[in-house]
Amino acid sequence: MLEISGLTKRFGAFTAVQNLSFVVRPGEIVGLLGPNGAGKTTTLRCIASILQPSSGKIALDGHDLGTQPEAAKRRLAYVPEVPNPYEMLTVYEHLRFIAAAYDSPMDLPWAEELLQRMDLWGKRHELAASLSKGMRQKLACVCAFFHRPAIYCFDEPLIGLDPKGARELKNLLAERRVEGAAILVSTHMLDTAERLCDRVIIMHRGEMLFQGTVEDLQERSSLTHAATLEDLFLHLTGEEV
Amino acid sequence: MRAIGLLAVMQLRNAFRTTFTDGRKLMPLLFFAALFALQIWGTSLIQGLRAPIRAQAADFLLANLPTVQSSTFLILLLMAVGNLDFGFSTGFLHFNMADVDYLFPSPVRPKAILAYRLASKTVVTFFQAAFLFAFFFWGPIQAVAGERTSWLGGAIALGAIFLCLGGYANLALWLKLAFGFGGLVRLRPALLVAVTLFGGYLLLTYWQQGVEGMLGIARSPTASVLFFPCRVAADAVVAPLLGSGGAGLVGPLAAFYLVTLAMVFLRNDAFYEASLEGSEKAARLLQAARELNWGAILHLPEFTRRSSQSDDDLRGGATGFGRGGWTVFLAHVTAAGRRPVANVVLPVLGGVLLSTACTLAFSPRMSAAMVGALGGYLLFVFTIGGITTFRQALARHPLIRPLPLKDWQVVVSDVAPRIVLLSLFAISAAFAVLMTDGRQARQVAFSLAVFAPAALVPLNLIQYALALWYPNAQDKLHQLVGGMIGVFVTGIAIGFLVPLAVMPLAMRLHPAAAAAVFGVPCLGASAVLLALSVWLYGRFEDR
Repeated sequence: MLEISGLTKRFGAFTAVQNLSFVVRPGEIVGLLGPNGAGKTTTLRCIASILQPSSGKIALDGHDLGTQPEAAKRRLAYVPEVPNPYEMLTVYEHLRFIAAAYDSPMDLPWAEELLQRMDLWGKRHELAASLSKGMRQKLACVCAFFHRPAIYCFDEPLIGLDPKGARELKNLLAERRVEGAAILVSTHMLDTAERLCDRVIIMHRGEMLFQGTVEDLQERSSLTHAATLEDLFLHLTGEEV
Repeated sequence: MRAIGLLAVMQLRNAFRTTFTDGRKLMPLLFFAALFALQIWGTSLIQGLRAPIRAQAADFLLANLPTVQSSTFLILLLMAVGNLDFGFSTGFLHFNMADVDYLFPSPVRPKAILAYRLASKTVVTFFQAAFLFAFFFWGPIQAVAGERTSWLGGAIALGAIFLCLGGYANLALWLKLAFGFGGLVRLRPALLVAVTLFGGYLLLTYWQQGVEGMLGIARSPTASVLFFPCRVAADAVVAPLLGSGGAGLVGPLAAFYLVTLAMVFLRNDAFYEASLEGSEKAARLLQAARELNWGAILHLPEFTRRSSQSDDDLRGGATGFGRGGWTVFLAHVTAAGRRPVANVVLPVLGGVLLSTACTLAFSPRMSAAMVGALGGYLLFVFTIGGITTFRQALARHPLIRPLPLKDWQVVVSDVAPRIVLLSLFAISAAFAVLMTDGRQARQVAFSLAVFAPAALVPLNLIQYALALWYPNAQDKLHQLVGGMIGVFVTGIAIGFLVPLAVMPLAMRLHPAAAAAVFGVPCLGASAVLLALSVWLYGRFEDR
C-alpha cells in the first residue's frame, strides 16, 4: 500500500505540491490526473526519493521512506516520463542490474516473458544506445515489472509506446493489480484513466481537486452538466475553452 | 555495492568491447599507441647516443632539479585547483539521468552511489595524471637518466600524484556536500579571481626575480601549507632522480587521501535532489533555450504545422532571426547574449587586463611579445574547452534536425558564435596593446586582431569534428580519449600555424602579404576541416 500524508514540496518560494494526502491500496490502480505543472511528476519523484519532500510522510507497504528508505524502496518500481536507460548496457544487462539492485533473483523465464511481450527479446543483446524512444520506454517498463515490487509509480507510461506495447503494458498492469500490487499512474489521457483506473486523483497547481472512483467522477460530471469526463476535467481545472 | 560493481563492470566491458568494433573509438587508441611507440623509439634513439652526451644531459637535468621540482609543484597545484573548481561548478554531483531514474529510486545505499560517482572521477584523474607523468616526465627522464631511476620509483611517483589529485577530488566533493550546490557556484568567481591573481603574481615574480623567485614561491611556507599535498607529491616525483625511492612521502599523501575520503563518507547529506540540478543541466539547457524563445526563434510549431509543404516553401521560414543558417547562428548568439558578463564582458575585459598586466609586469621590450604569447596560450586553452560546448550544441540537435537547413549551414552556425566570442578577447587585447608604446606592439596587435580570429576557425572546426566523432558523454572512455586527442591535434595545428604567423612579421613583409601567407593555408585548412565536419555531421546520430 502506498500512503501519502500531508506531502508538500517547495522549490524556493514556489510550492509545487501542497499538503497532498492519498492512499493507493493493494489491488488498485489510481490515476493521477492534472494539466501541465499540476505537480504530478513532482509527487512521483518524491515517492521515488529523487526529490526530498519539504514536509509530509510517504510510506510504502508500511515502511516510512524517510526513516526506512531501503526497506521502502525495495517495494517500489518507478518509471519516469522520459526514459533514460544506461546507454552502455544491453537490454538484458539492465535486467541483471535491476536484479542486483533490488536483491531479487535473476528469474530467466520471467525475463524472457517480459521481453517477449514487450517486443524486446530480439534486441536483448543490443546496447540501449541503439534503441528508439519507444523501445527505451518499453525497457523502462520491463525493468519496473522485473523485480515484482508491491508498488508501481508510472509517469505518463503510454506516451511513446506503439499500440501493441500500450496494450501489453495495460495487460501487465491489470495482471499486477490482480496479484495485489498498488499502482499509481500519472496520465494526461482521460480515456486511459477511465478504462484502466479504479480511482482518479485530479491535481491542479499542486493541490488535490478531486479524489474518487471513476463512477464518482462520472456522477459529478452529470451533476455539473458536463457532457464528458474531459469537460469535467477542464471545468475542475479551470481550463475550459 | 554488488549492483554498483556490476553496473560499473558491465559498462566498462561494453565500452572496451565497442572500442574494438567501432572505428571511431579504435582510431584514437591506435593514435595513442603510435604516440607511445614513437616515444619509446625516441627514448631508444637517445639511449643510443654516446655516453658522454647522455651524461651531460643527465648532469644538466640534475643541476636543474629544483626547477623541475618547482615546476612539478606548480603544475600539480594548478591541477588541484582545477579539481576544486570542478567541484565548485556543476561537477561531481552530476549524475547520468539513467542513474537518477534507476539508481536513486532503488534500495542501493546513497553512499554506494556517491562512491560510484567519486570512483569514476578518480579513475579519470588517475589516467590524466598517468598520461601527463608518463609522457612528459617519465619518458624524457628514462631517455636521459634511465640508469639513475627504477620502475618502482616511477610507480611510487605516479601513486603520489594520484593520491594528491584524488585527495583534492575528495576535498572538492566534500566542499560541495558541506556547502551545497548554490553556495559554491557563487564562490566560484572568487576562486577564479584568486587563481588569476596568483598567476599574475607568479609572472611578476618570474620577471622581477627569475626562476629563483618562482622557486621561492613554490618553497614558501604559505604555498607549502596551502598546498602541502602538492609539495609532497612534487618531492615524490623527483625522488627517484635523487636516488631515494620516495616511499616515505607516500604515507602523508595516503593519509591526505584517506582523511578526505572519510570526510566525504562521514557525511549524511541528501544529495539526490542537489545533484538533480547538475544532472538535469542538459535538459535545463534545452528548457532554457525554449524559455529564451527558442521555440519562437526557430518557429518550430510553424514548421510542424507546415510540414506538408515543400522544403522550398519552408526554407528560411524563421524570419524573426534571419533566414536559413543565420537562424541558428543568431539563435546561438542570442542565447550567448543572455549571459553577457560571461560571454562578452569577460572576454573583452580579459584581453584588456592581459595587455595591461603584461605592460606593468614586463619591460617595454618584452611586454608586447608576452601579450602575444600569453594571449595565444589562453586562446589555445579556451579552444580546447570548445569540445564540451559543441557537445552541448549537438545535444540540442533534435531541435535543429527537422529544420530545412543544409549540413554546412548547421556546422557553420554552430561553430561561428564561439569563434566570434573568442575573437573578442583577441581583438580587445590587440587594441589594448596598441595603446602601449611597447616594442613590436603593432605586430603583436596585428597578429591578435587578424591572425588569431583566422586561426580560431580551423582550431574550432577541429573541436567540432571531434565532438561529432566522440559525442557520447555517457561513455567515459569515449570522453577521455576524445578530450586527449583534441589537445594533441590542436597542439599540432598550432605548431603549424604559429610559424606561419611569426615568420612573415619577422621578415617585415607588408601586412597584406603577411595576411596572405597566413590566410591562404589557414583558409585551406578551414575548408578541409569544414568539409570533414559536414561529412561527419551527415553521419552523426543524435545521442
